[in-house]
Amino acid sequence: MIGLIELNKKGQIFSLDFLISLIAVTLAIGLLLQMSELKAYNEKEEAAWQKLKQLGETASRLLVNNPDIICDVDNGASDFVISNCIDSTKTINRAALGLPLDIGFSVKSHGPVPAIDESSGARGVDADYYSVKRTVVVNNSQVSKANYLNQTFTEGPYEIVLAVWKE
Amino acid sequence: MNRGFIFTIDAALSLISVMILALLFTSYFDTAEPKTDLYEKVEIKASDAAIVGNHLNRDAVGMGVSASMPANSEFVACRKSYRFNAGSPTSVTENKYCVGSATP
Repeated sequence: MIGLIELNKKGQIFSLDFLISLIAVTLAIGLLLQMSELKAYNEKEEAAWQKLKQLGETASRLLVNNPDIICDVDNGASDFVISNCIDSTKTINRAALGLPLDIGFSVKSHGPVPAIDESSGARGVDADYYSVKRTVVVNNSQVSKANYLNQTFTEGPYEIVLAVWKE
Repeated sequence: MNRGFIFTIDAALSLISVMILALLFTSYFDTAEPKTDLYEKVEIKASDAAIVGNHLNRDAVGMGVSASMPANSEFVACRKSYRFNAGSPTSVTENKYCVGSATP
């Protein structure tokens, strides 16, 4: 006996099994902590991604529906606007897309690129971004009623890609 | 210990259990695209095809989509557009635009 601790036959305080189990339990606790930390991080990232996605989808809807961006049809006293027709004389800006200041955006197209104002800096190489592809026609002026009825537009159809990212 | 083993069978089994749990844990973080995103994409594409097709008087084939529901797709979205026939305020032309996601 040494104090209250009893030595075994080989003079050891702890057995090998006890030490191995202690190591295993320590590793298991470490793994659990790492998992919970990873889960918390993952949930935070997911929440940020969902927010970015919502903003991207809203911006893509506004891109093809906002009267400040899409084509007007000249119908005398009762002009109207048509969805999915971008007027290249109008300017796409952050407010028209409903994007807050901390969100960067870009609009790219294989056809004529719409005029963009207040565009943000270039997206970082590693930055997460959400992109939406929309199909549009483009007109370089107000659409006349005759052209609208004859389905005549300046350009298109084109696919334009709107991308948003957190700055 | 009496037979010269360093670890008992119990320890070996627990090690295997931990390895299986670790494998399950890593497979949990699958990087595949979420299915909801796929549906939203086909829905947007079908909707755009119908609207622009109506603007340009193009049918589904002219817009590069399908006129009928694609087979073997996990998600399918279809939209129809109607246009009054020239000179006839009572008859319309219907066009159907369908888009399917990739084969599951």
